Amino acid sequence: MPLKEGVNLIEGNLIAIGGLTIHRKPIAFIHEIIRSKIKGLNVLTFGGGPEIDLLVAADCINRVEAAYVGFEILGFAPNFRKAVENKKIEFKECTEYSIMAGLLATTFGASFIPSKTLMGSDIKGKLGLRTIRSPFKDEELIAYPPIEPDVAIIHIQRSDMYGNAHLEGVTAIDDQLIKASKKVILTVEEIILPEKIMENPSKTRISSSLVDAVIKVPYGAHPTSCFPYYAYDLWHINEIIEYSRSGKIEEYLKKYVSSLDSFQDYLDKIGKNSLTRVKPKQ
Amino acid sequence: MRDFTIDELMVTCMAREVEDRSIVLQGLTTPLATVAYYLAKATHAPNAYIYQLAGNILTHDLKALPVSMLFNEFQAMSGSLHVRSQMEAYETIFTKSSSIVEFFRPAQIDKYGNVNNSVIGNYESPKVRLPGAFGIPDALGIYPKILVYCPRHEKRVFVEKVDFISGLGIFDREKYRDKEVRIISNLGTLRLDNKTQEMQLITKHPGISIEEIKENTSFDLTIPKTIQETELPTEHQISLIRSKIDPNGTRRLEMLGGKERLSLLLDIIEKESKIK
Repeated sequence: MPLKEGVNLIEGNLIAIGGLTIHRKPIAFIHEIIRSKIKGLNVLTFGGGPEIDLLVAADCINRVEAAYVGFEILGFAPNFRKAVENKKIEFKECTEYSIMAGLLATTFGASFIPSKTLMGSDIKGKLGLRTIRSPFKDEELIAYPPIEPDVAIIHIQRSDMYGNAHLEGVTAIDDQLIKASKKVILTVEEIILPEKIMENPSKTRISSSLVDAVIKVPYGAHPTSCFPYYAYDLWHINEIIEYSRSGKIEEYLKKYVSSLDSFQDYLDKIGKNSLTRVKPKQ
Repeated sequence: MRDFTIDELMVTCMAREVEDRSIVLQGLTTPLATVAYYLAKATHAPNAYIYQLAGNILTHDLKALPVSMLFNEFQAMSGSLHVRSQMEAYETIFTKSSSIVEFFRPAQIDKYGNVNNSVIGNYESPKVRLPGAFGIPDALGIYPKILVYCPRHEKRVFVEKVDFISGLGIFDREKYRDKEVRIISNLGTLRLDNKTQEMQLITKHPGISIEEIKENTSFDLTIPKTIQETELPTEHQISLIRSKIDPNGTRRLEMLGGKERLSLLLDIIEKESKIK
């Protein structure tokens, strides 16, 4: 399926994005969302990075739900930060466990998951979480309500044409997002034969029964990483920061996204040198 | 005095918190903490488990070294015997909390050990919207020992009261009497005791005066009558850090900010992209 068709599958109130900060973000898909001028998205991600920053810069976002949005060692996600400070977007600040427990509630078919985590944190109040008394022990617990994304978009290493997939390196909560979301779109570095999957089914971390679309996009996470194919391109992520700092993020979006027809055009623009220096050395 | 830098002194202090068979949780791109964990494993804690987000290091031969910035995930995976999901990591947090070592780096910390990585200023109209606290608020409620590192001990970090409680430090003193917060900064080491509820200075780093530490702390520190100097790194530790664990100096990234950090980062990744 081409990316343009994949974007047509986006619907509903909450869109989940896989990966973690500068690892395995579905950037090719994000570019296509920006090109399609989709607006008003509510996005959930565990730890957000360049994908959130670009969506915010392109004015596609209404609300972000995440435990973190930033560029790790490179610091702030500049457009996200500015948009929250200027109240241009809503930020629902979560924590790791608040997201994980919410997804767990969905997959367990429970109306809440009780937990001791987050007691005393101001985030509890901001999330509007309620507490419940344990029927077994003298303790007050937080009741985490279910989180059920309408669509999850995940970039992974490889799968067969049906979506039976491997997941390597930083796995984050992608297994949970896939199980809890109503619809799942995978973008993959490689499509392999089902026979290859059958050779070692213990490696299959995602079952095709949960996957609605598979789209092959080599380098589809660039400038974030996709182990073991390539590391994150910190030079390019820094370029996003520099464009943003000098108030020229629109130029960046035009140069690398909106004036181009495809993600392949973007990779051509990035150039071979940039793509090879993030390749692991043997 | 031996030849060492302040980042190396902090690394050795942090390494001392790791015990043999500790379960060490390592976040992403926190190089100072990463170097400390590997130093512990290479010296007094060979059987420590290093749980990285990219996989569990269960090997004993330190195959994954040296620490890398650009190829962080690749380095972690090369020494890994098991890859687990985040939910599996949390299962460990709940069941083995007393064995866990995990250092957090807050943007602000107050005299009650509360930490803030959410906002500077008012929450609804923040002066600075920080990236977020990730799992810190969850873990603080569970770990009996809270470990904090602050590479820049300044008034704006050590505040009287945090602008927003991302995570609660000490609470319910009756129930959690043994809970404690330990802080390692670039000036000294501090401890918050749940019995006394006071933040105490424990040691000062060589060449640092008590006055200097007070001047850089917004709240009143309890200063015991005698203050020892922080234990110095050994030559063996320094040599391991420089030659085997972190020859490219990724640990220094956390000591710097702004342009200086960026320029060191670009130097390191340039070098790493050409190695081998």
